[in-house]
Amino acid sequence: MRKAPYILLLAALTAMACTPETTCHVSTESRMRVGIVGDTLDLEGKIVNYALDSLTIVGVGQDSILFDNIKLTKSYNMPLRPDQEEAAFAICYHNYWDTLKVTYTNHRRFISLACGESTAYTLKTADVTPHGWVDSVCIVSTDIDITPKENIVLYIHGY
Amino acid sequence: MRKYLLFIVCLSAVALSATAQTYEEEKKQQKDSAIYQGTYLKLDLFNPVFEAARSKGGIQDYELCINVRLKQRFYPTLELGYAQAQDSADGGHYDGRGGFLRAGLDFNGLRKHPESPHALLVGLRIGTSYQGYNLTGVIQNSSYWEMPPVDYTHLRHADAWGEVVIGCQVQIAKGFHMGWDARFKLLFTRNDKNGGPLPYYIPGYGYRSDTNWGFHYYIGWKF
Repeated sequence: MRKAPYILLLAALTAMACTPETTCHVSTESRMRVGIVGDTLDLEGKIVNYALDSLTIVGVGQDSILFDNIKLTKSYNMPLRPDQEEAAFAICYHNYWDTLKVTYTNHRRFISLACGESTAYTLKTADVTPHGWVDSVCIVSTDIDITPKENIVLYIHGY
Repeated sequence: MRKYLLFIVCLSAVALSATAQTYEEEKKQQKDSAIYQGTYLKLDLFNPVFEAARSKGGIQDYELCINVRLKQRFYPTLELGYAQAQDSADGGHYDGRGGFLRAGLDFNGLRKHPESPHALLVGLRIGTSYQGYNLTGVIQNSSYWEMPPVDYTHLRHADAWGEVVIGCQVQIAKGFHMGWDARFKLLFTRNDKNGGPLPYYIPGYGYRSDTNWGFHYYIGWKF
Protein backbone atom coordinates (compact mmCIF):
# COMPACT_ATOMS: atom_id res chain seq x y z
CA MET A 1 0.00 0.00 0.00
CA ARG A 2 2.93 2.34 0.62
CA LYS A 3 3.78 2.16 -3.05
CA ALA A 4 0.30 3.19 -4.17
CA PRO A 5 0.95 7.00 -4.20
CA TYR A 6 4.11 6.46 -6.27
CA ILE A 7 2.26 4.25 -8.73
CA LEU A 8 -0.49 6.87 -9.04
CA LEU A 9 2.12 9.61 -9.54
CA LEU A 10 3.87 7.55 -12.21
CA ALA A 11 0.55 6.92 -13.96
CA ALA A 12 -0.26 10.65 -13.89
CA LEU A 13 3.17 11.55 -15.29
CA THR A 14 2.79 8.93 -18.02
CA ALA A 15 -0.60 10.34 -18.92
CA MET A 16 0.82 13.86 -19.00
CA ALA A 17 3.63 12.65 -21.24
CA CYS A 18 1.05 11.36 -23.71
CA THR A 19 -0.76 14.69 -23.90
CA PRO A 20 0.16 16.73 -26.99
CA GLU A 21 2.20 19.85 -26.36
CA THR A 22 0.77 23.29 -26.95
CA THR A 23 4.05 24.77 -28.18
CA CYS A 24 6.13 23.43 -31.02
CA HIS A 25 9.66 22.26 -30.26
CA VAL A 26 10.50 20.49 -33.49
CA SER A 27 11.97 21.76 -36.71
CA THR A 28 9.26 21.86 -39.35
CA GLU A 29 10.66 23.76 -42.33
CA SER A 30 12.42 21.91 -45.13
CA ARG A 31 14.92 23.97 -47.10
CA MET A 32 16.63 23.33 -50.40
CA ARG A 33 20.37 23.51 -49.92
CA VAL A 34 22.21 25.12 -52.84
CA GLY A 35 25.96 24.87 -53.12
CA ILE A 36 27.95 27.33 -55.23
CA VAL A 37 31.12 26.06 -56.84
CA GLY A 38 33.42 28.90 -57.81
CA ASP A 39 36.48 26.89 -58.68
CA THR A 40 37.18 26.66 -62.38
CA LEU A 41 40.12 26.21 -64.70
CA ASP A 42 41.90 28.98 -66.53
CA LEU A 43 43.32 28.68 -70.04
CA GLU A 44 46.45 27.06 -68.69
CA GLY A 45 44.46 24.44 -66.79
CA LYS A 46 45.14 25.90 -63.36
CA ILE A 47 42.38 26.02 -60.75
CA VAL A 48 41.10 29.52 -60.14
CA ASN A 49 39.05 30.12 -57.03
CA TYR A 50 36.46 32.88 -57.11
CA ALA A 51 35.43 34.44 -53.87
CA LEU A 52 31.84 35.66 -53.99
CA ASP A 53 31.69 38.59 -51.63
CA SER A 54 28.32 40.21 -52.19
CA LEU A 55 25.70 37.63 -53.00
CA THR A 56 22.05 38.65 -52.75
CA ILE A 57 19.12 36.27 -53.17
CA VAL A 58 15.46 37.28 -53.52
CA GLY A 59 12.48 34.98 -53.94
CA VAL A 60 10.63 35.93 -57.13
CA GLY A 61 7.28 37.39 -56.09
CA GLN A 62 8.49 38.41 -52.62
CA ASP A 63 9.35 41.92 -51.52
CA SER A 64 11.75 40.89 -48.82
CA ILE A 65 15.32 39.77 -49.45
CA LEU A 66 16.30 36.25 -48.47
CA PHE A 67 20.09 36.83 -48.31
CA ASP A 68 21.41 40.38 -48.51
CA ASN A 69 25.02 40.97 -49.59
CA ILE A 70 26.44 38.01 -47.82
CA LYS A 71 29.87 36.61 -48.38
CA LEU A 72 30.44 33.20 -49.83
CA THR A 73 29.62 30.28 -47.70
CA LYS A 74 29.69 26.74 -49.00
CA SER A 75 25.94 26.57 -49.39
CA TYR A 76 22.67 28.45 -48.96
CA ASN A 77 19.43 27.08 -47.55
CA MET A 78 16.50 28.30 -49.60
CA PRO A 79 12.91 27.76 -48.45
CA LEU A 80 10.45 26.52 -51.08
CA ARG A 81 6.79 27.45 -51.35
CA PRO A 82 4.64 24.79 -49.64
CA ASP A 83 1.51 25.91 -51.50
CA GLN A 84 2.96 25.65 -55.02
CA GLU A 85 5.07 23.25 -57.04
CA GLU A 86 7.59 25.73 -58.37
CA ALA A 87 9.71 28.52 -56.98
CA ALA A 88 12.17 31.00 -58.48
CA PHE A 89 15.04 32.88 -56.90
CA ALA A 90 16.80 35.91 -58.35
CA ILE A 91 20.48 35.74 -57.44
CA CYS A 92 22.64 38.84 -57.77
CA TYR A 93 26.40 38.95 -57.80
CA HIS A 94 28.13 42.28 -58.56
CA ASN A 95 25.00 43.57 -60.31
CA TYR A 96 24.75 40.49 -62.53
CA TRP A 97 21.39 38.85 -62.05
CA ASP A 98 20.56 35.22 -62.63
CA THR A 99 17.32 33.41 -61.91
CA LEU A 100 17.23 29.91 -60.51
CA LYS A 101 13.93 28.20 -61.16
CA VAL A 102 13.00 24.85 -59.60
CA THR A 103 9.97 22.63 -59.94
CA TYR A 104 9.06 20.02 -57.35
CA THR A 105 6.29 17.95 -55.86
CA ASN A 106 5.39 18.64 -52.26
CA HIS A 107 4.44 16.17 -49.56
CA ARG A 108 2.56 17.82 -46.74
CA ARG A 109 2.40 16.25 -43.33
CA PHE A 110 0.33 17.52 -40.45
CA ILE A 111 2.37 17.36 -37.25
CA SER A 112 0.22 18.95 -34.58
CA LEU A 113 -1.88 22.03 -33.98
CA ALA A 114 1.07 23.79 -32.38
CA CYS A 115 3.56 22.82 -35.10
CA GLY A 116 1.21 22.99 -38.08
CA GLU A 117 2.30 21.29 -41.27
CA SER A 118 5.72 20.23 -42.38
CA THR A 119 6.30 19.90 -46.10
CA ALA A 120 8.90 17.69 -47.72
CA TYR A 121 9.69 18.10 -51.42
CA THR A 122 10.95 16.07 -54.34
CA LEU A 123 12.88 18.09 -56.87
CA LYS A 124 11.89 17.58 -60.49
CA THR A 125 13.84 20.18 -62.47
CA ALA A 126 16.29 23.01 -61.88
CA ASP A 127 17.12 25.62 -64.50
CA VAL A 128 19.04 28.84 -64.52
CA THR A 129 18.92 31.79 -66.93
CA PRO A 130 21.85 31.43 -69.33
CA HIS A 131 22.96 35.06 -69.45
CA GLY A 132 24.43 35.77 -66.05
CA TRP A 133 27.32 34.65 -63.94
CA VAL A 134 26.02 31.12 -63.33
CA ASP A 135 27.34 28.66 -65.87
CA SER A 136 25.20 25.61 -65.13
CA VAL A 137 23.13 23.89 -62.48
CA CYS A 138 23.10 20.31 -61.34
CA ILE A 139 20.68 18.42 -59.11
CA VAL A 140 22.62 16.38 -56.59
CA SER A 141 19.77 15.07 -54.44
CA THR A 142 16.05 15.28 -55.22
CA ASP A 143 14.80 14.75 -51.66
CA ILE A 144 14.31 17.88 -49.59
CA ASP A 145 13.30 17.45 -45.97
CA ILE A 146 14.25 18.81 -42.58
CA THR A 147 17.55 16.89 -42.68
CA PRO A 148 20.00 19.24 -44.36
CA LYS A 149 21.84 17.91 -47.39
CA GLU A 150 23.01 19.47 -50.61
CA ASN A 151 20.34 19.37 -53.29
CA ILE A 152 21.62 21.63 -56.04
CA VAL A 153 25.03 22.85 -57.16
CA LEU A 154 25.50 26.08 -59.13
CA TYR A 155 28.68 26.22 -61.20
CA ILE A 156 29.81 29.76 -61.86
CA HIS A 157 31.79 31.41 -64.68
CA GLY A 158 35.05 33.19 -64.34
CA TYR A 159 35.11 36.81 -65.48
CA MET B 1 -18.18 -64.35 9.67
CA ARG B 2 -20.17 -61.42 11.18
CA LYS B 3 -17.03 -59.35 11.10
CA TYR B 4 -16.56 -60.26 7.46
CA LEU B 5 -20.15 -59.22 6.60
CA LEU B 6 -19.74 -55.93 8.50
CA PHE B 7 -16.56 -55.18 6.56
CA ILE B 8 -18.36 -55.77 3.24
CA VAL B 9 -21.26 -53.49 4.26
CA CYS B 10 -18.87 -50.71 5.28
CA LEU B 11 -16.89 -51.06 2.09
CA SER B 12 -20.09 -50.92 0.03
CA ALA B 13 -21.20 -47.80 1.88
CA VAL B 14 -17.85 -46.14 1.20
CA ALA B 15 -18.02 -47.22 -2.43
CA LEU B 16 -21.58 -45.92 -2.75
CA SER B 17 -20.58 -42.67 -1.12
CA ALA B 18 -17.60 -42.36 -3.42
CA THR B 19 -19.77 -43.11 -6.42
CA ALA B 20 -22.31 -40.51 -5.36
CA GLN B 21 -19.52 -37.97 -4.85
CA THR B 22 -18.04 -38.73 -8.28
CA TYR B 23 -21.49 -38.39 -9.80
CA GLU B 24 -21.97 -34.98 -8.14
CA GLU B 25 -18.55 -33.85 -9.35
CA GLU B 26 -19.28 -35.07 -12.85
CA LYS B 27 -22.61 -33.29 -12.79
CA LYS B 28 -20.90 -30.10 -11.59
CA GLN B 29 -18.15 -30.48 -14.15
CA GLN B 30 -20.72 -31.02 -16.85
CA LYS B 31 -22.45 -27.85 -15.78
CA ASP B 32 -19.15 -25.95 -15.66
CA SER B 33 -18.01 -27.31 -18.98
CA ALA B 34 -21.18 -26.23 -20.78
CA ILE B 35 -20.18 -24.25 -23.82
CA TYR B 36 -22.21 -21.12 -23.05
CA GLN B 37 -21.84 -19.84 -19.47
CA GLY B 38 -23.25 -16.35 -19.57
CA THR B 39 -22.99 -12.91 -21.17
CA TYR B 40 -21.44 -9.89 -19.50
CA LEU B 41 -22.30 -6.29 -20.31
CA LYS B 42 -19.70 -3.83 -19.03
CA LEU B 43 -19.48 -0.05 -18.95
CA ASP B 44 -16.13 1.76 -18.82
CA LEU B 45 -15.99 4.39 -16.07
CA PHE B 46 -12.32 5.31 -16.30
CA ASN B 47 -11.94 6.94 -19.71
CA PRO B 48 -14.91 9.35 -19.58
CA VAL B 49 -13.52 10.80 -16.35
CA PHE B 50 -9.81 10.55 -17.13
CA GLU B 51 -9.94 11.93 -20.68
CA ALA B 52 -12.23 14.78 -19.66
CA ALA B 53 -9.87 15.69 -16.81
CA ARG B 54 -6.70 15.34 -18.87
CA SER B 55 -7.97 17.36 -21.82
CA LYS B 56 -9.99 19.82 -19.71
CA GLY B 57 -13.19 18.71 -21.37
CA GLY B 58 -11.76 18.60 -24.88
CA ILE B 59 -12.11 14.84 -25.20
CA GLN B 60 -15.12 12.71 -24.45
CA ASP B 61 -14.86 8.94 -24.65
CA TYR B 62 -17.67 6.46 -23.94
CA GLU B 63 -17.40 2.73 -24.21
CA LEU B 64 -19.46 -0.44 -23.73
CA CYS B 65 -18.10 -3.98 -23.69
CA ILE B 66 -19.94 -7.24 -24.23
CA ASN B 67 -18.23 -10.56 -23.64
CA VAL B 68 -19.44 -14.14 -23.45
CA ARG B 69 -17.98 -16.84 -21.22
CA LEU B 70 -17.44 -20.11 -23.06
CA LYS B 71 -16.21 -23.35 -21.45
CA GLN B 72 -14.85 -21.52 -18.36
CA ARG B 73 -11.81 -20.33 -20.28
CA PHE B 74 -12.73 -18.29 -23.31
CA TYR B 75 -14.28 -14.82 -23.52
CA PRO B 76 -15.05 -13.61 -27.05
CA THR B 77 -15.35 -9.86 -26.67
CA LEU B 78 -16.93 -7.00 -28.55
CA GLU B 79 -16.32 -3.38 -27.53
CA LEU B 80 -18.25 -0.45 -28.93
CA GLY B 81 -17.72 3.22 -28.32
CA TYR B 82 -17.90 6.82 -29.36
CA ALA B 83 -15.39 9.61 -28.88
CA GLN B 84 -15.05 13.25 -29.78
CA ALA B 85 -12.03 15.50 -29.50
CA GLN B 86 -11.60 19.24 -29.70
CA ASP B 87 -8.39 21.15 -29.29
CA SER B 88 -6.87 24.52 -30.11
CA ALA B 89 -3.30 25.79 -30.31
CA ASP B 90 -1.59 28.71 -32.05
CA GLY B 91 -4.72 29.69 -33.94
CA GLY B 92 -5.33 26.15 -35.17
CA HIS B 93 -8.45 24.27 -34.20
CA TYR B 94 -9.24 20.55 -34.35
CA ASP B 95 -12.69 19.01 -34.12
CA GLY B 96 -13.16 15.28 -34.67
CA ARG B 97 -15.79 12.73 -33.72
CA GLY B 98 -16.52 9.15 -34.57
CA GLY B 99 -17.27 5.62 -33.46
CA PHE B 100 -15.07 2.62 -32.87
CA LEU B 101 -15.32 -1.12 -32.61
CA ARG B 102 -12.95 -3.67 -31.13
CA ALA B 103 -13.30 -7.43 -31.39
CA GLY B 104 -11.14 -10.07 -29.83
CA LEU B 105 -10.76 -13.01 -27.50
CA ASP B 106 -9.73 -13.19 -23.83
CA PHE B 107 -8.41 -16.27 -22.11
CA ASN B 108 -9.07 -16.95 -18.43
CA GLY B 109 -5.70 -17.52 -16.78
CA LEU B 110 -7.04 -18.89 -13.46
CA ARG B 111 -5.64 -22.42 -13.57
CA LYS B 112 -6.72 -23.86 -10.23
CA HIS B 113 -10.30 -22.67 -10.21
CA PRO B 114 -11.50 -21.99 -13.71
CA GLU B 115 -15.06 -22.55 -12.50
CA SER B 116 -14.75 -19.43 -10.31
CA PRO B 117 -16.91 -16.46 -11.38
CA HIS B 118 -13.75 -14.32 -11.16
CA ALA B 119 -11.36 -14.27 -14.08
CA LEU B 120 -7.82 -13.20 -14.83
CA LEU B 121 -7.95 -12.26 -18.49
CA VAL B 122 -5.28 -12.10 -21.15
CA GLY B 123 -6.30 -11.42 -24.73
CA LEU B 124 -5.96 -9.78 -28.10
CA ARG B 125 -8.08 -7.22 -29.93
CA ILE B 126 -8.42 -5.85 -33.39
CA GLY B 127 -9.82 -2.32 -33.39
CA THR B 128 -11.16 -0.04 -36.04
CA SER B 129 -12.60 3.46 -36.00
CA TYR B 130 -14.20 5.79 -38.46
CA GLN B 131 -14.45 9.50 -37.86
CA GLY B 132 -15.14 12.86 -39.44
CA TYR B 133 -12.89 15.78 -38.55
CA ASN B 134 -12.07 19.40 -39.34
CA LEU B 135 -8.71 21.10 -39.07
CA THR B 136 -8.78 24.85 -39.39
CA GLY B 137 -6.13 27.54 -39.12
CA VAL B 138 -3.27 25.10 -39.73
CA ILE B 139 0.11 26.81 -39.91
CA GLN B 140 2.13 26.25 -43.08
CA ASN B 141 5.70 26.56 -41.98
CA SER B 142 7.68 28.94 -44.12
CA SER B 143 10.02 31.49 -42.63
CA TYR B 144 10.30 33.41 -45.92
CA TRP B 145 7.24 32.95 -48.14
CA GLU B 146 4.04 34.48 -46.85
CA MET B 147 1.75 31.55 -46.26
CA PRO B 148 -1.77 32.01 -44.90
CA PRO B 149 -3.10 29.29 -42.56
CA VAL B 150 -5.10 26.59 -44.33
CA ASP B 151 -8.40 24.93 -43.47
CA TYR B 152 -9.27 21.28 -44.00
CA THR B 153 -12.94 20.56 -43.51
CA HIS B 154 -15.28 17.56 -43.86
CA LEU B 155 -12.43 15.08 -43.77
CA ARG B 156 -13.11 11.39 -43.16
CA HIS B 157 -10.66 8.77 -42.02
CA ALA B 158 -10.67 5.13 -40.89
CA ASP B 159 -7.98 3.67 -38.65
CA ALA B 160 -7.11 0.15 -37.55
CA TRP B 161 -4.94 -1.15 -34.75
CA GLY B 162 -4.16 -4.19 -32.62
CA GLU B 163 -4.10 -4.54 -28.83
CA VAL B 164 -2.66 -6.87 -26.22
CA VAL B 165 -4.88 -6.84 -23.13
CA ILE B 166 -4.36 -7.99 -19.56
CA GLY B 167 -6.95 -7.52 -16.85
CA CYS B 168 -9.39 -9.10 -14.48
CA GLN B 169 -13.06 -9.22 -13.66
CA VAL B 170 -14.39 -10.00 -10.22
CA GLN B 171 -17.88 -10.85 -9.05
CA ILE B 172 -18.85 -8.40 -6.30
CA ALA B 173 -22.39 -9.61 -5.79
CA LYS B 174 -24.52 -12.13 -7.65
CA GLY B 175 -24.42 -11.02 -11.25
CA PHE B 176 -22.62 -7.74 -10.50
CA HIS B 177 -19.01 -7.52 -11.64
CA MET B 178 -16.14 -5.06 -11.57
CA GLY B 179 -12.84 -5.20 -13.38
CA TRP B 180 -9.98 -3.42 -15.01
CA ASP B 181 -7.64 -3.95 -17.90
CA ALA B 182 -4.46 -2.40 -19.27
CA ARG B 183 -3.63 -2.46 -22.96
CA PHE B 184 -0.73 -1.97 -25.30
CA LYS B 185 -1.86 -0.68 -28.69
CA LEU B 186 -0.13 -0.78 -32.05
CA LEU B 187 -1.43 1.39 -34.87
CA PHE B 188 -1.59 -0.21 -38.32
CA THR B 189 -2.77 2.82 -40.35
CA ARG B 190 0.17 5.16 -39.96
CA ASN B 191 0.09 6.95 -43.31
CA ASP B 192 -2.61 8.44 -45.44
CA LYS B 193 -2.59 7.29 -49.06
CA ASN B 194 -3.85 10.69 -50.18
CA GLY B 195 -1.23 12.58 -48.18
CA GLY B 196 -3.80 14.66 -46.32
CA PRO B 197 -3.62 15.65 -42.69
CA LEU B 198 -4.44 12.72 -40.43
CA PRO B 199 -6.74 12.90 -37.42
CA TYR B 200 -5.20 14.18 -34.25
CA TYR B 201 -7.11 11.80 -31.98
CA ILE B 202 -8.35 8.30 -32.85
CA PRO B 203 -11.56 7.14 -31.12
CA GLY B 204 -10.82 3.97 -29.16
CA TYR B 205 -7.07 4.35 -29.64
CA GLY B 206 -6.11 7.74 -28.22
CA TYR B 207 -3.75 10.43 -29.50
CA ARG B 208 -2.24 9.46 -32.84
CA SER B 209 1.05 7.74 -32.24
CA ASP B 210 2.56 4.51 -33.55
CA THR B 211 2.01 2.87 -30.17
CA ASN B 212 -0.22 3.75 -27.28
CA TRP B 213 -1.41 2.56 -23.88
CA GLY B 214 -4.92 2.22 -22.56
CA PHE B 215 -6.66 1.51 -19.29
CA HIS B 216 -10.28 0.67 -18.44
CA TYR B 217 -12.19 0.28 -15.24
CA TYR B 218 -15.47 -1.50 -15.71
CA ILE B 219 -18.65 -2.18 -13.88
CA GLY B 220 -20.76 -4.91 -15.39
CA TRP B 221 -23.68 -7.24 -15.13
CA LYS B 222 -23.91 -10.92 -16.02
CA PHE B 223 -26.99 -12.13 -17.87
